[in-house]
Amino acid sequence: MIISKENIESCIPQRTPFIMIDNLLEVSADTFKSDFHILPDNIFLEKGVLREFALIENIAQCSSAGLSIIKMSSRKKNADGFIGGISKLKLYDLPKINDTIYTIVNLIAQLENMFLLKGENFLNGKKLLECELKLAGI
Amino acid sequence: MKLINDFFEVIETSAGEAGFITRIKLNPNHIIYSGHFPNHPVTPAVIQVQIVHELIEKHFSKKVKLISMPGCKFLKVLNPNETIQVVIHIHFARNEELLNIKARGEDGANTFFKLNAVYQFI
Repeated sequence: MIISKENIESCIPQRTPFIMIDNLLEVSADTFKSDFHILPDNIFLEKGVLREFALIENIAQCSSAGLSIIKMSSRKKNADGFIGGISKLKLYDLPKINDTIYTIVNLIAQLENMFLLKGENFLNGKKLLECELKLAGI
Repeated sequence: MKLINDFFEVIETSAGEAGFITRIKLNPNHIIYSGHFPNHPVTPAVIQVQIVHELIEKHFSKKVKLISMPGCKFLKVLNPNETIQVVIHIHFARNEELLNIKARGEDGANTFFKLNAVYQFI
């Protein structure tokens, strides 16, 4: 465990109700892992199913948290982060209320303050979604 | 959570054979903006993608499922206090149950996003 749910706000700019990550579990130079339990009040739930928009946001927030830990970014406290692009996205399945998803992000490239990352969400070992994200201003 | 009539409302719409244009108005007081970000509202990228999804479902009066998104670019920060109305252009090519979409959002002066995605009618 790197950062627990209680302290996750210290490494991401998002706040309730837009926090889509719980615990940052592992961080290495180019790989970040996190989990996220889907509570009944999640704003991306529709008829008990968590929409794909939350999965993309979860990958972005896992990326943002991991980058803040390895301190590759020059992100200052309270600085915002932005998704500059989403690509190569494939959607396989969606999780449901009370599921806990697991997320793996790989840092592919960095150019100054722009980062290219690949993220995947899993539920019980089964892939839900994968995509590449460009993050800026982190 | 549905965004239509809550996060945004449709002001006007016009349709052609292979596309439609929708002018929407954002709701700067929506709770999403309180978390993204405090005292600095920015329309989340994933919410812009969800707006396109809901406009497609409204146009066809049918549910669609996202299959893949080859690419989506977010070119400019969309702050609802600076830009309250956005014009969403959606072009589509339908192949039986699959729908190839090219969409963009702009306000006359700026383009905020460009999106390519494949949906399936469900």
